[in-house]
Amino acid sequence: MGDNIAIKIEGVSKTFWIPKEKRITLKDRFLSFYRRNNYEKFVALSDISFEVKKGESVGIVGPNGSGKSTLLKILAGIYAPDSGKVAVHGKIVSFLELGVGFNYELTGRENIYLNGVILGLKKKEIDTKFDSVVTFSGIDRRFLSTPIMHYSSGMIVRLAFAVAAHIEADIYVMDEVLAVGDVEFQEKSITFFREKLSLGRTLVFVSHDRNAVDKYTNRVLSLRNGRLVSVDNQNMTGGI
Amino acid sequence: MENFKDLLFEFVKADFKLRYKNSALGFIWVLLKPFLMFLILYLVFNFIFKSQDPNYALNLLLGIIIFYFFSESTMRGLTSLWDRSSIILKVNFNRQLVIFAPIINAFINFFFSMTIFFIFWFFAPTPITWWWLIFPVYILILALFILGFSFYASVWYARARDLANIWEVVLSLLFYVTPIVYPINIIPAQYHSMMNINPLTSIIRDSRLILIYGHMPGLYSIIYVGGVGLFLAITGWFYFKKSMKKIAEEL
Ligand SMILES: Nc1ncnc2c1ncn2[C@@H]1O[C@H](COP(=O)(O)OP(=O)(O)OP(=O)(O)O)[C@@H](O)[C@H]1O
Ligand SMILES: [Mg+2]
Repeated sequence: MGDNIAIKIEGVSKTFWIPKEKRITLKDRFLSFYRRNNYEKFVALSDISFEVKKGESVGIVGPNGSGKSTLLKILAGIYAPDSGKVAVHGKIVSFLELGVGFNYELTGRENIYLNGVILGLKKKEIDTKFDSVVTFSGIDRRFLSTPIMHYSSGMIVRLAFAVAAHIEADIYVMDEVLAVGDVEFQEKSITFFREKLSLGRTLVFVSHDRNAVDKYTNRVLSLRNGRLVSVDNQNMTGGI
Repeated sequence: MENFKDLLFEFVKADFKLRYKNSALGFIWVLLKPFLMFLILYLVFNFIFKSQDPNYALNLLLGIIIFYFFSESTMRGLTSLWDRSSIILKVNFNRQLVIFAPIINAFINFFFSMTIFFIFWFFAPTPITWWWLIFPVYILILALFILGFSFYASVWYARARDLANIWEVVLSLLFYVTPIVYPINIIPAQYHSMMNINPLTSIIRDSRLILIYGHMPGLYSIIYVGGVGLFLAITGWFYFKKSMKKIAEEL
């Protein structure tokens, strides 16, 4: 039955306990040990249910703090939901940020490897993809042995995106990774999405750029204060 | 995760590179630091105690190297989870790795700093016996302690940053309640059993027995430290695993 379902989320809720005031030192912890009421509940997601079919491209929109990143973190298995079910069919890779693990003191080459293994690649796979990553990034090879703190910010973004683009998965989850880069970069990312979709991959991404969302997705989920307020199917013929 | 090994290797490599980047002497510091510490303590305490033991220097050096491994790796293990929090919040990978990586690095340092010991040993050799083969077992047991400590403490540290300061003080206390700069026989015999509760006391004493005196270490003590170390590492592993479900939210 659920053969063509990539992601199925049922009644997912997430509550955070947030301190009424900042409490970080041991003394504070000690003092507050018997005063649990210093924490208050904050509902970040309440009763979220939706499905994403294989090969679909779904956008998630909503104002700041509406719970988009929290939802993606639950999808990625970083947060556990308080209640509800999350089912993911297929290999999922999450880009909650590009260039996770990048260290400014390490060289471009070193960072490609570091970022690559963090995203689940084997060292051997990176060895074979290395040239292609560098070409994709468009970074001058002379800079590969330079610490990335000497890169321009655009170069760092390109490098990060280049590694991300070389990760094979069935489902790609992305949090605001489009909002960066120059025109050429934007074009590259469009190609990236187009390619993944043509291969039957599933995309879920968060963006504040309504234009991009309309362009890249066939369905838009709107979150507001942790609730799913609308599922917009209008874009069925969608973009790419 | 199937790339566990590669990920661990890259973490270790990155830690290693970052540590010695922009440092003129680089890795030499690994040898130099325990050696300088030894030199200072040797000058001070040999002057105070006027030790009769012809092996005082070797004993002191071995004690310092082992203790240094313990203090460096526990300090780094303590902060390891917090240090990697930016990655932990973004990617779901096997969290235990962040504990292993700094400890492996500290172990590499320990391994190389043992060369100072062997340089000293070379000039005043002590008998090589079969017991030497047991020495790595002691280091393994010490590693179990370090691992167990780090599994617990890294989680606590993520919640209360004071722990680094507290542990630093505890370490400097440990350095003096462990017979490192002084021989245990200057302490009244009735306190010995109390001092033996400290696993570092047994580990350092037995390592000296093996490498410097060529004696058989006490079977009882290896069972005691091995057992406690194993217990700590195993319970720590589960505690860490259990805590990981919640920890990302608290980082
Ligand atoms: N670990 C946490 N502890 C406490 N509160 C949290 C935690 N993570 C998120 N929140 C809260 O949950 C709410 C939703 O956060 P989230 O990051 O999901 O928003 P978002 O929709 O991604 O916003 P933005 O558009 O700004 O990225 C926010 O109010 C945030 O403060
Ligand atoms: Mg967000």
